[in-house]
This record gives sequence, structure tokens and C-alpha cells, in this order.
Amino acid sequence: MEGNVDLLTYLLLLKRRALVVVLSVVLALAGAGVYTFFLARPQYTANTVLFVWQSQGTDTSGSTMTYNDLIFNEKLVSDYRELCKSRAVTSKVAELNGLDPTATAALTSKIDVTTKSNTRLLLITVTDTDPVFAANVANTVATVFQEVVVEKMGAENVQVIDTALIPSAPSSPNKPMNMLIALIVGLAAGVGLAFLIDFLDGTVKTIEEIETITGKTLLGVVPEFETEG
Amino acid sequence: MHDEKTLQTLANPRSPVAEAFRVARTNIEFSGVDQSIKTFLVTSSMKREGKTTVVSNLAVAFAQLGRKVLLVDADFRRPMLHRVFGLDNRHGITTSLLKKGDPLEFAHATAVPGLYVLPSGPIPPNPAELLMTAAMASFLERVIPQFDHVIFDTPPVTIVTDAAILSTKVDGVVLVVRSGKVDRRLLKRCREQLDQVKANVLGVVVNGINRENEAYYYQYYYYSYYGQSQTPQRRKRRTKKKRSARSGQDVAPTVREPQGVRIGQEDPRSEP
Repeated sequence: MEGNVDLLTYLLLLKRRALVVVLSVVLALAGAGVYTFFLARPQYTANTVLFVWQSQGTDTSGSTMTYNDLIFNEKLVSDYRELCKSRAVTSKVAELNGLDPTATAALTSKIDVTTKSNTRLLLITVTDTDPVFAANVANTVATVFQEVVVEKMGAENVQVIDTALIPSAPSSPNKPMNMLIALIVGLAAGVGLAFLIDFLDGTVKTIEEIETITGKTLLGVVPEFETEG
Repeated sequence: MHDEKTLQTLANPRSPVAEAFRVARTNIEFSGVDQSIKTFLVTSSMKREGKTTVVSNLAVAFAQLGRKVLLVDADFRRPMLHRVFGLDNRHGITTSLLKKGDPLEFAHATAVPGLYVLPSGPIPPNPAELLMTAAMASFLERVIPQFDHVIFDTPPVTIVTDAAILSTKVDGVVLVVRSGKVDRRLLKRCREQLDQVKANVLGVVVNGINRENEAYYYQYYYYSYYGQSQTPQRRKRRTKKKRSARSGQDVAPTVREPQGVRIGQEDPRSEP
């Protein structure tokens, strides 16, 4: 009973302060909307997929895989992932794309290399405002990387599976996601604000409160009605 | 003409508002432990909490029980009662107190049988002192025996001392608290001030409860239906008495002869 009343009290508090909640949600949605639809520059993402295999032993399919082989594979994929973002690769990529080969930090930040878990596939993701540039970089990273592996590691064990295509639609901003986040954040902020305002407002609002403060019996509760005075 | 919007007990006796005043009336009546509550004043901690509205409707509700009720406007600072009952305020209790004449000379009969209203009259220069005079004491002495109830409207407690002074001369005090209006500290101060003069605070009437936004409203009403239910009678009489209800004739569930009213004093104005 007590618990129900408390919950009801909070719900009624929110109803009383509904304007604050609504305003907060509207503001958050408007802000996110302006950002998403007008300010944010669309970003395009291009992917290449590489396959990395173990170079020792020409064919692994016939022989039995040992535990060490598994560990080695895992390490190799991790090594290659980092190698993709090394200066040896990025400066060459920059050069090939007509950028300054000594200033690769900006380029590196656009390149993301991930592995698909439990596979030997490397996924090179390049994000940029220009879809053609993103695809070009993704493809050059793949080829340069292949060359660097041969050159530095003396192993020819990287194969390009998918070359990057020029993305037709932007990957970001993710409009529905942004609006959903704005809705949730706005709602949370509005509810928080409603409680804060109610807490800071020093007036008595519930009958229970009036009874507690006055310490007197409740004689009657008169509903609100319009008077002329 | 009286203010129909304010006097819900008279204009809409079947409304939830009128019902709420009847509940309050019942509770006031039974709030005295070892004495019946004959005289009481209605006050609040600050202005515009609905004191006058509450006191007017309570007075009507008591009169509707067939009692003889005098409603006095003792708010000499901002008198409002005459407006509710559409009365002339050029003369009132202050005039009587200064003239030391017939205390009920300026009392008016109202549309409610048995209810008389005494407006404040001109605003005196020293309202608090006026309440402490011997003239006031003799006024009460002479008036109280003639009525079943004498009810006072007073200024807010935390602003002026009038209500505190008068509280020592009546059986009880009804505190009106408007929901969402009074600051906690002010209400606490009001309570302290009333306790200081050892006022017999009968209880609190919470005013202006928003039916949709108040969690306790429903609860309270369920309670009241069990506690001092007037609902079954109300239901039964609804169809039968609709017409008379509209004209504001009956409301009392039990109309009984007022006690302590001497014959020949039915109308206070008829006295010489």
C-alpha cells in the first residue's frame, strides 16, 4: 500500500511537472535534429577484407592443427592488425593518395582495422566525408599492406578477399539512432529536472506533508473549484 | 445577491465540493473531545488560501443541519465575507463594537435559513486592539447564547496577530491550508504561533486539491465514505430531491430543531 502510494506520488509529480519533461525532450530532439540534419557532415565508410594464413606448411587442411598453431595464428592476425596502421603502411598510402607522407596522423585516424572473431579475416575500414577517397584509401591500404608484409616479413600470406566499393550512402550520422539517443537523454534530463524543481520548490503539496508539519488532524479536503474572488 | 460560485454548498449541494465541506463540518463537530464546538474561527497561514470560501461554505453547511449560525467577518484588514454574501459593508461588527449598541444590529439574514452574516464594517485603525477590548468580550457574551454556532473569518496568522487573539476567545481554530501555495517554513511558523497562544486547533482543511494531481484525494475519499458516510443517503435522495436541491432548500440529512434557540430570537434583526 505504502509503496503504491509512493509510486503514485512520483507519477503525479511527473504529471504536475509534465511541461518540464516535455520541454526537455523537445529541446533535446531539436538539438539533435539540427545537428544530425544540418550541421553534421555525412561520413562514408569503405571496407576491404583480407585473409591471413599461416605461411609455414603449404597447406594446413591436410595436417592436424596443434594448439601452438592456433596461438600462432591468433598472434599473427593481431600483428597484422597493428601493422596496417604502422607508418610503413600509412606513409605509402598517403603518398599514393596525394597526401603528405610525413603527416599521417589524420589519415591513420580514419583507418580502423578489426578482426572478425575466431577467423583469420582482417577488416580494414576507412571513414571519410568523401566516399571515393574512402574507397581509394581502403584499397591502397590493402595493397600496400600486402607489399609491406612481403617486403618486411618475407611472407606471402595475405590475400585480398573483398576490395572496397565506393559507398553509396553515408554511414553516419545515423539519423534514427541520434534521435533515439536524444529522446532518451531528453527524457532522463526532463525527469531529473522535474524532481529537482519539485524538491527546490518549498511549498507543501501533499496532504501527508501538511499533516506532518502542522501536526493537526485532517478535517477535510476540498477539491479545487473556481471562485470569483 | 450571494456569490454562487463560491457558495458551492448552496448552489451545488450535490457536488463533490459541497460534499467535502459537509465532511469537514462533521469532523469539526466531532473534533471536540469533551466539549461541543460551538464557536470557532477559520484562519490560514497566509492570504489567498481560501479562508473566506471555506468559512462561508462551512457556515452554510452548519446552517443546512437546521442550526442557527452566525458568521462574523473578523478580518478587519481585508474583509471579504460581505462580497460572498452580497452584503453592504458600510456597517458591521466594528460599528457595533464602537457604538457598544446591539451586537446584531448589522447582521443580515441570508438565503440559507438559519444563517446570519455579520460583515466587518469599516476598517478600524487598530484591528488587533479592537479584538481585545471589553466591548468584544461583551459582544461574544451576548451573541454566543443566541446561536448554535458562531463562526469567524479572520486574517492570516503569520501576517497579523488578530486570529491568535481571537483564538483564545473561541472553542477552536480551523486552519485552512492551500495545497501547493504555502511554504513549509511559513506553515511551521503558523503552527508555532497558534501553539504559543494555546489555541485549540481542531485541525486542518486542505483547500484547492487538484483531483487529478493529488494521490491522497482518492484515498481520503474512500476513507471518508467508510468513516462518516453520507453517500448512501445521497444516492437515495438524489432523484427525489433534485428540484429542492437546486433551489438550495435542503441539504441536511437530518433536519433537527436547533438547540438553545429561544423563541422570539429567530431573526436577530427583529430585536429592538
